[in-house]
Amino acid sequence: MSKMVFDSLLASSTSSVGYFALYAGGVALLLVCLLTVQVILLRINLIYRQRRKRAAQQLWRKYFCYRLLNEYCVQPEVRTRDIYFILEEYDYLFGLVKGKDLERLRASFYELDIPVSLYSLLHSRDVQKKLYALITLGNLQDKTAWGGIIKCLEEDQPVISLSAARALVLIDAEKAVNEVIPVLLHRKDWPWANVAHILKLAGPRVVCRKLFELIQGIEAGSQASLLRMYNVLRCEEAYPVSTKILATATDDKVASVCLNISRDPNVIHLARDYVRHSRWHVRMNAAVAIGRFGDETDIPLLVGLLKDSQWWVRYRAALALVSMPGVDRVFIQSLRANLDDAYADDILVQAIKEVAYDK
Amino acid sequence: MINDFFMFAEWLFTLYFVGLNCAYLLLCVLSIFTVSRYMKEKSLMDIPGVGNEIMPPVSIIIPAHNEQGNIIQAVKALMQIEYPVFEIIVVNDGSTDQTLSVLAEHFKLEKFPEAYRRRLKTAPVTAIYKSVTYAALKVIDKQNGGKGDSVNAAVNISRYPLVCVVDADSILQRDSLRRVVQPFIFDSRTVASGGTVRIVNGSDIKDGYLLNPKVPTRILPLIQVVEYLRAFLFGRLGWSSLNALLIISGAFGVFHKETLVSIGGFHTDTIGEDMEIIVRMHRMLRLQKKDYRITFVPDPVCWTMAPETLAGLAHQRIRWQRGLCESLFMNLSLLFNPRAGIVGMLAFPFMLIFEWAGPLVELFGFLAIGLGFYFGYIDPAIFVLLISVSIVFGMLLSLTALLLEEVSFHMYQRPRELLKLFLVAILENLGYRQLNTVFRLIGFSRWLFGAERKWVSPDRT
Repeated sequence: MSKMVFDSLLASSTSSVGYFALYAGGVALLLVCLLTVQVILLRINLIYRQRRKRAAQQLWRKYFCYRLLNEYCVQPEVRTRDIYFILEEYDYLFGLVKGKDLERLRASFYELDIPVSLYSLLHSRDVQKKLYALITLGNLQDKTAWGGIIKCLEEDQPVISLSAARALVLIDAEKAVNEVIPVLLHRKDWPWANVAHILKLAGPRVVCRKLFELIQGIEAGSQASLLRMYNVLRCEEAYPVSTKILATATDDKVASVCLNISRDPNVIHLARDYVRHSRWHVRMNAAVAIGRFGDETDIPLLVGLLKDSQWWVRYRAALALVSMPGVDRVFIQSLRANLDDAYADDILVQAIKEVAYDK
Repeated sequence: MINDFFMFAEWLFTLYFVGLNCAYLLLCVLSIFTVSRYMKEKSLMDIPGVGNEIMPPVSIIIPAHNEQGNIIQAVKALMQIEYPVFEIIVVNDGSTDQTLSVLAEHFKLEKFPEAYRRRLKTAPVTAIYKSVTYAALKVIDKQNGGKGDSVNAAVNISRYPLVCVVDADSILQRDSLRRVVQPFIFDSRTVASGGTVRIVNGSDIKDGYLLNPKVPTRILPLIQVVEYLRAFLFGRLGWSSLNALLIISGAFGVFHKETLVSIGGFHTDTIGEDMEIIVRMHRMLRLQKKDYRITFVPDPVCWTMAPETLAGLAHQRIRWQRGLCESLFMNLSLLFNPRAGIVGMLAFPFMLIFEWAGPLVELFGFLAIGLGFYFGYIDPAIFVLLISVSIVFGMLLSLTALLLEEVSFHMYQRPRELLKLFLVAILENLGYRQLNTVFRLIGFSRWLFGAERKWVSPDRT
């Protein structure tokens, strides 16, 4: 039938455009049929996968929960095809429990007769398998995997190397910071926020000590980043260190970070010198530092910054000024009456309103 | 002589059609690779314990003109978005309804003396308000200046390095912002990013969020589901993989504020401001030899109501075509400009030949073939063949989009829904496409003859 239709079309298509259109259409029709079959097959596969995942999740969540409650539960059969669902379920529950329950969860995992070794997954070329292994080995605190995980720390893909860093920190935080922090200095592709999150798991005391060892003799860019890391980890040791670094800082970024993070009252003497710096972010952070530790003698400096060409500098100076002890409504009114700069007046009005909101 | 003309018309129409579809199929191949890679990366990020990035703060901008019915729900939905630090700036662009008063009443607005920098020129701002109950909400009341002007006004008072423009009637998912901001974290060259917009008609929505996506029951929005899949999943994704994306949907897009300001912000004299800003960004950054990325995230991040009536559809499509014409001709210096790289040599000419001139060629083709057939210059079999081939190619493209959806997000879970989409992929070629060509032609003529521009919400009954 189709051949007849084709022949009649071919016979009537006397022009070359007819031939061309006929063959192009034929190819397109064939592709349409193939695509239809593929879409149907994909949907069948999806339904099958979803059912399998749901069943495995229900089975293993129930099992792990019983084991967490220390109650008897028949161990389900571990099927090779369900391995990743089991690992996912284990890692998911690991994120939810704390204290002794973690030990119980680890023990219940070791009781399983997993047919695929996590170590073999760790050495797999498949990124997903490697990630499953790294996360689970970290959660299990498996010390025997240390050497294998260290190798992953140097992997090109940040998602792998960062997961390796996390696993190391979970296994042995003290030992891990010695391995992770030096790598941090040359891994430009590691998001610092992500690293800070991992290092927080190790605890600030352990990390700050290592950071302190490194921070003195490194290049300015890394120094500024490590200082920010100090701040994120709330290392009190960082504050005198940042003041010391600020005293000899030649790099704008380093100076800016030091002024921003410092909670050391001694920073005020240095901050006063930075209000006339050529870079606006340094002036802005000088205003922040003066706002923290300044006194009434600093008011003229902040009033000067209210007239800065950069909005953020004016804004931070205004906030610092209105929050300063001894600055009251009467003072602000007299200050506004004497201000000859419209921008300074505008920002001051905004800051008063904002501080009033916050209070 | 007449015979030669019809022969020429036949060839032109056929070659144009095959060229267009081949170009789309090439984009589709690119998209299949891109979406597969993206899904793998996405699945890695979804493994427990991976990817806890701290996101940069974002200023979310909602331009509103006569949106009293939607605005409260839109703001409340944005307040619940899963994102660490953000501010919401609503711009009341000279509304003649109660938009400002409903906002003031619901969020307890008070006038606020914001000392902002007027880096972009806008229509006069009447007042700035801040919510007493929700500190991160600000409302700008300004004289009417259009959507682009409203966004510019909000950019002026925004505090954060990224700005996100959202339509008041957009339905988001809780992780929408996080998904669209991700390209800025993974690649510091990113200056703009957008995601897939889907049709929300027929889906379950609660408090401004999508609960359960369903395919619409009415035929017109149902056809648009397939149309949107095609446009986003392989149109934009394909161009994005070449860093030649020429549009980020106005319904939901994130921009690097300094870049936006450096190119002069949104133009106020176009109705296709979402496309124009991206084309201009390409033009200025390419010509300045800056290394940048404009990225498309294939995740469905924004859901919108599609027109359910022919009048609504006509209005929308006329506006889109006119916006496209304006955007292309405002940045014509990109065309075949070697300094503009792939954007000037490939993406821009593609848009000009297939999107701008498309309706004209189709009109010419259909008229010539129809007349040729009527007067006996074209064999009836050839006439039927050409029409059939155009339908089969249309089906092929729609099915490719369905395939991409199946290998990626499969939002429509029920097999019955897939079957509906499959049928629509065939049916849309019988009338709907031709109707769209007519609407695009009207848009083209309105651009050509400079009809008056208005910012009005499309008819979405």
